[in-house]
Amino acid sequence: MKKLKINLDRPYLNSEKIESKQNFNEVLNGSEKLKKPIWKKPWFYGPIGVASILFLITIGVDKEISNSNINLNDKTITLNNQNTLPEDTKCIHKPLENLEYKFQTFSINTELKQIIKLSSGTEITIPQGSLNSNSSEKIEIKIREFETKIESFIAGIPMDYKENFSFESAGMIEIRGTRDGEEVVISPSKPLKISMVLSKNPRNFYFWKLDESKKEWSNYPSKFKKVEAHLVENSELPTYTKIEKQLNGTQNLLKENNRKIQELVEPNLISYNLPVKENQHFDLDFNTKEFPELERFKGMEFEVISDKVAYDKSFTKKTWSSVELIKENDNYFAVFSSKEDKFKIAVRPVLNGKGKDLAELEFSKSYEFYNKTKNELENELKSLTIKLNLQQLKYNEILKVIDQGYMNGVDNKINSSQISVKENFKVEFTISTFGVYNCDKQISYPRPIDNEIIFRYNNLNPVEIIRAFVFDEKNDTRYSFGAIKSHRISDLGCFDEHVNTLLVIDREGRLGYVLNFNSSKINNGILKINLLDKKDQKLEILAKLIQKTSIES
Amino acid sequence: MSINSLYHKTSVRLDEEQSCINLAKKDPAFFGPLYKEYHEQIFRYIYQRMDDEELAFDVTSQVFMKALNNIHKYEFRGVPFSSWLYRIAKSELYQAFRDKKAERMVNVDTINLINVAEELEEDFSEANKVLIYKCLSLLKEKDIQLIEMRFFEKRNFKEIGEILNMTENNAKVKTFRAIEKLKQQFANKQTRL
Repeated sequence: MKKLKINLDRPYLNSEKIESKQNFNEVLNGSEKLKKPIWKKPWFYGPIGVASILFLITIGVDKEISNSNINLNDKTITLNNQNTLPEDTKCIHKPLENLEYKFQTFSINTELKQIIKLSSGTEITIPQGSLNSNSSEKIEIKIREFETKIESFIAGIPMDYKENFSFESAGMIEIRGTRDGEEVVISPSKPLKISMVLSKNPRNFYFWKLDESKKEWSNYPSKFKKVEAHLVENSELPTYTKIEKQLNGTQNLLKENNRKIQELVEPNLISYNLPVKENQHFDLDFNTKEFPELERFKGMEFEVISDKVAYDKSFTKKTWSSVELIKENDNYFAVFSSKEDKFKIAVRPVLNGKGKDLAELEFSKSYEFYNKTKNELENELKSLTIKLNLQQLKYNEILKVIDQGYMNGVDNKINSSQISVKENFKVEFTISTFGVYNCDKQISYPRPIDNEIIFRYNNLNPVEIIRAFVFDEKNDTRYSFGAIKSHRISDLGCFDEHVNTLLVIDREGRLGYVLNFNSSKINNGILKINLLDKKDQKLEILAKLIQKTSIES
Repeated sequence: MSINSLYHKTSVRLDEEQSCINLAKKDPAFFGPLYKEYHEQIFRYIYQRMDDEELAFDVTSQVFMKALNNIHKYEFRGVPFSSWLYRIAKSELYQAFRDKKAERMVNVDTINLINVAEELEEDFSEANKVLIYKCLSLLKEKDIQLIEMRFFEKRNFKEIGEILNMTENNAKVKTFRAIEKLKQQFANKQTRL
């Protein structure tokens, strides 16, 4: 019998090496080559093949016969296409004339190797002599990095892929180099190196370059890198531990605030020796030598302490032969006596006259202070509770990211306390032409809403919409309708279960919006749109509109 | 013995994977995430069974090309996508052996031999290590592949069943029988000594 060969303790091949051998393009090309031509497939010669060929021939004949019908359909298509932008529109086309997403500009000395570091952590290395220029000529590098959907929207970057996909971005950068306004050329032998910080784990993401002449995205070689844990810890970004500390701090502040509220004592009239209106008062003569402590209560009265013991209130109407003040265990009592009866009641001395006025002033000041402090503490309690909730949300989000990371086996070695949400990954690539580079995942477009939609502003004037954009928070993407090569306005749709914001542009260039947009917002075929004033058309306001939707939801 | 957790996936991940497969059926470009996800697993499966690293990478590429060409045939009927890939890998691997491009090899770590010794209820002495090593080489292919999957690759019986196209119970029984044969070989060798 043939013996099996056994290899003992062969050196372990690490994952990095295996990963470096990945070559998806080879698989794509190889699979094409593996495919058999249709006439070599066995079914081609069977009944199905014969039937299919006959079917195709029939369709061909039909097509010729019904040429007039096709013309009719063409007309319909032309009508629907009126909404879309002309074919010669530039690939990067700002949707709003008055809004611009600005570039950062850097002057470059081409005689030296230069490194541009952006605030996000992204680095662009320009090797010496990579941009051909005489030393006297100034070269400007213009860069804009896109972190949100709104930024790429304002800049007019198309985010569609093929016919039915939009892009979810983990990071995108546009880089241009100009000399006196003219684009400069990068020497192919000295390409620029870019290390771009990503906002998301690039698992299932690809890297793309925008082909501005074809107006489409194409795959671009790149290398994704995990940022080492200590780099993350050193970053300024909020980390798990920082958020945890903030959360604990807020919880302690909240406890302290609650304790202060509980300890806050409401000033009462009794402690200021002031009379309580509802109680009975009377004068009483007593010997000041016997009660020297009462000497300071000039022109004083006595008040019946009635809050604990029920007593016969008619005692003041009876005739008493004597009234005596006595003190038992630091409490005062008035003892009323007559031949037939005796009545003892607890009393306290209260101020009267000038002394009372002064005490009342003091009491009202103290009460005012009490009210102010109480309001302040209660307001602080409210804001701390909101802060705590927000921190808790952020904390949960980070925990989720960490869990997801572990679940996907991203890196079990990274200490969870050192993981930050934002700066976990980078993508490294080199460029020999300026343009837009993007780390993206393809997301399917939603199905069009079934019924035809009539758009109206709140004043009920119907409006002709020429472009529409659905910002989907869950998929973190933008679906465009009526833009270059994109879907028509009549294809407008959204995922109803997602949080969406709809932005529309009408024929007059006005911008409208619908928060929490979904098909239920369309009543009897009418969709009401809120108009956004031109002065309010700012990046921050548009970003808030989208954010507001997600917070409200 | 700990079981490799790579195989376990949450229903959310399975849904994501299924949508990725559906997209890949329409456009091969979407096969990329699946390729990235499973490349290492499939390579390790192949490389575990041969000694030529470069050839193992070639066979792995071949597996993914075949998978991409046949993805329209894949439908989720209880067998995860990974198992479907392993079946293709198994077929490509044995094709490579038949074409004499590669030779069947069993790669074992000392730590795996400890697991086997435990299963045989024997001490892991140097002498026993040599004996186990010899006994493993005498097993038939159908037995060694079960031991390989269970003890060297730490797969659970469900996955073994799915890759080898048998039920979980059947995989359990057959692995048990393979271990029994190994025990028998071990006992024979010991008596001869």
